[in-house]
Amino acid sequence: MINALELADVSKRFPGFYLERLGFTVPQGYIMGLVGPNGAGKTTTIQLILNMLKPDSGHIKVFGLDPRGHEMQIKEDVGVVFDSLMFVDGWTVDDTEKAISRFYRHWNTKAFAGLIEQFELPRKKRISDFSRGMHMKLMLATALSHEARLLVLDEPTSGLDAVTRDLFSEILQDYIKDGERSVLFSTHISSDLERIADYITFIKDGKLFYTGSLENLMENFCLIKGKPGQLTDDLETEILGLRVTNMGFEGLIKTEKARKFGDILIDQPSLDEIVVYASKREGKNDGCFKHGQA
Amino acid sequence: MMGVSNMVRLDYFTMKPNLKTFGAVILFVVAFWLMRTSLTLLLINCAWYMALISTNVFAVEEKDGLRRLYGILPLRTRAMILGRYVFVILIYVVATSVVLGLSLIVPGREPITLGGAFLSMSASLLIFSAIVGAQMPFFFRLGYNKGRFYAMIPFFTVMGLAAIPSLIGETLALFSWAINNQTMAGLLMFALSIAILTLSCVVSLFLYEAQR
Repeated sequence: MINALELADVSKRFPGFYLERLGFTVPQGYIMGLVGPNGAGKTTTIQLILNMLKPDSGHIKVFGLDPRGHEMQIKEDVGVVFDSLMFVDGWTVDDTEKAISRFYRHWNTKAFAGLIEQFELPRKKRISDFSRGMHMKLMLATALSHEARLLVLDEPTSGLDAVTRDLFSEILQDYIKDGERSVLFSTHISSDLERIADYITFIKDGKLFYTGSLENLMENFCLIKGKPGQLTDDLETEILGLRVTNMGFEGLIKTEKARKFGDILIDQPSLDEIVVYASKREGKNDGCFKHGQA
Repeated sequence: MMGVSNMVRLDYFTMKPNLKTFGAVILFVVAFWLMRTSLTLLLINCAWYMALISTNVFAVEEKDGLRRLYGILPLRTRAMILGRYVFVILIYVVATSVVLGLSLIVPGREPITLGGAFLSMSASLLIFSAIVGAQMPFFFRLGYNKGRFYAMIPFFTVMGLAAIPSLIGETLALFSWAINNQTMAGLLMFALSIAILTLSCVVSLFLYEAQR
């Protein structure tokens, strides 16, 4: 399998934050969801991939190339959408195209015009008067108009309504259908990924918690609920993000471990629940899981 | 070179919504001209005025988060930095050309000699280069808001130096020498301006890269 993106043992230290030995791969033709709570290191990871930051150690490869030595070539091939507008708010759509298009050898004016029409963005209106959803659509239109083979999205759907988020999902699925193009989609709205992601990388506190297929992640964790008397010491050590109330307890447990405690209610968690419970856990199950190990 | 010219173009579009600020230079020239200001003073005023407003591009860059855009475009850091310097210098050149053009068109002034005009332009360029050259590395390193405080250093330095009585005599002697050796003084100031801008550009590149 050809990888669009590879990170191996990538570390970056800032005062008060350490991204520690991060490693994952995005296979060509698939969507990788990058999840984790705020401050987990998702944006730092994306900045490292885009060569906006230099890693302290480890290596990154985009289409098999090192971004430090092939920055221009890689940036031609990577389309990016950030969580907020990165254009001058006094520009119009036309100004944006004029200012940006010259940088790309393969800028496709027709594709851009088509996307602007599809997104119903007014070409002559100042983008400061656009809604947040329109900002995101404009950034997506520019990212998709220079024949990028990898799309990197950093929290593009936060603050967007369900209809616009659904449109984003459709566009991304359409984008990868030729099997040549890939997506790295960072978000803390995990439900978006549940519908479209093939793989998930879950970062917590700068450390890798899980990387592998979404299917594997969903199969390997289950939600456990019980009455107060059912919470034994053995069970407590196995539960991630344990929440205890007067009515009972609930948390996340690895499916294989859940079998040992047969008489307790177990349920299939959503990706959101896995992220929430796993982010809450404390100390006892602090390992990380890679490709099917979860 | 393609990267530099693309960056200059991007900076032009960045400042396009604020072009009215630059249009004010024409009003500024006319106002000073009506006050019968000499060409030298006019060009010197133009230098600091343009140094002040040309660095507004950093303010827009910070307000709209454009560093993220520079980070994703196929644009090398050195092309980005050099392009910004070229853009700022181009603004100054255009403004100076407007000032000179208007000075020639508007009648009723004392005749302007070639040597005098060259000396005035070189002095103006030196002032512009000194201000911009000192400010831009701070803006590249700290951004506009944080860098603004440090960017005032060149202004305070000049004001401080002007307040030292022992320097006044030497400065006047230097002026006198420059007026008597207009071509030589003009060339020296021109060369010094280029050196300042080049050094500033190298420092900016180093400081910007260090952030990553």
